[in-house]
Amino acid sequence: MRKNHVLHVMKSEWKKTRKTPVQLVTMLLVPMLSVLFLSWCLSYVMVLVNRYSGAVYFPEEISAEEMETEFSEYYSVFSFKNGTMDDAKARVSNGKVDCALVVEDRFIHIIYDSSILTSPSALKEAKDLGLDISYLLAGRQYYNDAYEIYPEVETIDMSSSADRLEGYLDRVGGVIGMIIFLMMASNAMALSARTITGEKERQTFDTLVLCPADLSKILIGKELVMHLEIFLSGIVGFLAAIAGMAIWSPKEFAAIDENGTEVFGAVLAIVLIIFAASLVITAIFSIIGSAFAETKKASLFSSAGMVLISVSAMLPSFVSTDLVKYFPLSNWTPVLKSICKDEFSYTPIFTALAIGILLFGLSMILSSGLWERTSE
Amino acid sequence: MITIEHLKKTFKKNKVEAVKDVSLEIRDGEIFALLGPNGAGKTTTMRMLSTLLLPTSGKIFFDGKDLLKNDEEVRSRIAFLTNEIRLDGQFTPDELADYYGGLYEMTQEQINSRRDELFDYFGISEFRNRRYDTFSTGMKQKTSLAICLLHDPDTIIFDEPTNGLDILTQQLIEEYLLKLKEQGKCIILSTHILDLVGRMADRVGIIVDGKSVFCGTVAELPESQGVETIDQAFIKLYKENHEEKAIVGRHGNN
Repeated sequence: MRKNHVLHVMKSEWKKTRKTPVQLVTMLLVPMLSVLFLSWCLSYVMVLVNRYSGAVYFPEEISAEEMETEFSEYYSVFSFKNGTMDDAKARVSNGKVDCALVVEDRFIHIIYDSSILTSPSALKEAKDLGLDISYLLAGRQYYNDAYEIYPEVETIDMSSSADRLEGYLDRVGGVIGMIIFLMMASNAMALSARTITGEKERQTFDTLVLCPADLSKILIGKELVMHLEIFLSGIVGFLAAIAGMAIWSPKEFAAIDENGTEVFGAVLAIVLIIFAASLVITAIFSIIGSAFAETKKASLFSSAGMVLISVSAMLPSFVSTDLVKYFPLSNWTPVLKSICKDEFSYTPIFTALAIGILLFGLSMILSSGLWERTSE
Repeated sequence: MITIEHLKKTFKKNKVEAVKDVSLEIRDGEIFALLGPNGAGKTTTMRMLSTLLLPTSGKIFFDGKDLLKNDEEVRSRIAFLTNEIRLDGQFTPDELADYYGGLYEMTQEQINSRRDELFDYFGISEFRNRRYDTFSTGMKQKTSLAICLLHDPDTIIFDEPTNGLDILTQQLIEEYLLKLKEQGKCIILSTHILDLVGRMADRVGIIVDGKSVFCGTVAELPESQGVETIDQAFIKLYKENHEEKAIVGRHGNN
């Protein structure tokens, strides 16, 4: 009975990876740490510079113009008006302002939408304004028990769990997806250099050619292991993104459950998106790897591969067509959004998967031809 | 038996005609030495024999079967070793044997038995669990030799097999080659060491400027040239067949 050379090469290539600690670190730790760091950055650093607008609504007996004179110098993003809680809620709901303060009999309410107003510093500024207003009104003895107002600045979050989730995915999802894909691509570049181009550079290729095994089967074994390793690094990146969300954006993380999102379906969809992406990434880098006998030359084209992957991942930001959700790499953001909007369908995911499999198959044919040709 | 008929190889990339016309006959149970100056086309001929290169024209027959039509079968019957061939550095000799044995369709029992025999002979057993890339040049060469002989080939093609090795390792390899010859294997050696040819080879083939200029027994070589030693015969054949153009190119027109 003939041995299965594909499986035999796969086992051997996997053993090589396990025996190379640097490779394991690059494959698993780097995507994990990169995505965690990026999640932290996007949750904290970016929201600090988030611009917003606010409004303060006073009851009729207080002059909004007078209050504006008092506070506008220090709280320039706020406008000052006379109005009710309903007016404030309507303004926040329809997006006219990101945050509204309502001065009522005993309380100062802060109304905001946490899916839009993501900056903790913005909320703090609103609270500070609320306290300053309460001090001023107490000093003017507007309220008899003004000091009791002090701890009673109350926040009302107008956002729904779906809004929060969508807002988070809007701000963070696309960038995280691109970083996951780039990490997968950089792993693919290293793996292709080691397992495909490296065979020629290390002069171990001839030993393989001398074996009575079909070279294309040896290459398929190598490409399949490469794909599995790239897929694994993508999954690690995805898990790190979930962990980052749970640690640094707990409200949005809780919104997954509140929104009633079907977790199993969502996870399966994301796993399939990563699987399809890893097929395409493997296809690109195995063609580049097999076309050259020197890693230095291959790396020039690998950079072009990285650009292609980045552009594909960013495509949904540039184009408005719905078609992008049917293609691997560019389907990440549209599918994530559809998950939280309850418009989720497996059709684009399976279409992207089919395209990924097709490209992977074509790359096997092309790369085995190139690999054998360069042996001349 | 291997028959080579009017073999030619031109590298398209740099338009070098490495082998112009080589015809040789190599028999089973003999050590055949392939001689020639540097750049004569020995290595290219051996790479074509071992299926690593496709000939531009000409034919190679293994036991009457065309090499190009039966390359997979031929590969399972030959071993090819040069100083340029390397093995995966991350693997230990044990793992290398498992890997290449698997690609040669060997069962685990066959791999284990051949591995023990070869590792013991070449003194690798002690280091069988050490990574290949930590070995010295000699140990690497011995491991490469053991791995390429693992599938018990009928034909062994060695391109300067003892080049750069210490005298003890050279002797070990030479003894093993003689042992293989006794088993009826066909051994093709490419070497610059004419003393080795005299001691080991049964027949000789000489290539000069990509053309075979002699094929016969070691005894016939000096006789055919009317000289006393292999060295003298080799130099005479070289001078007679080396293209004048190359000499003019090297030394000018004077």
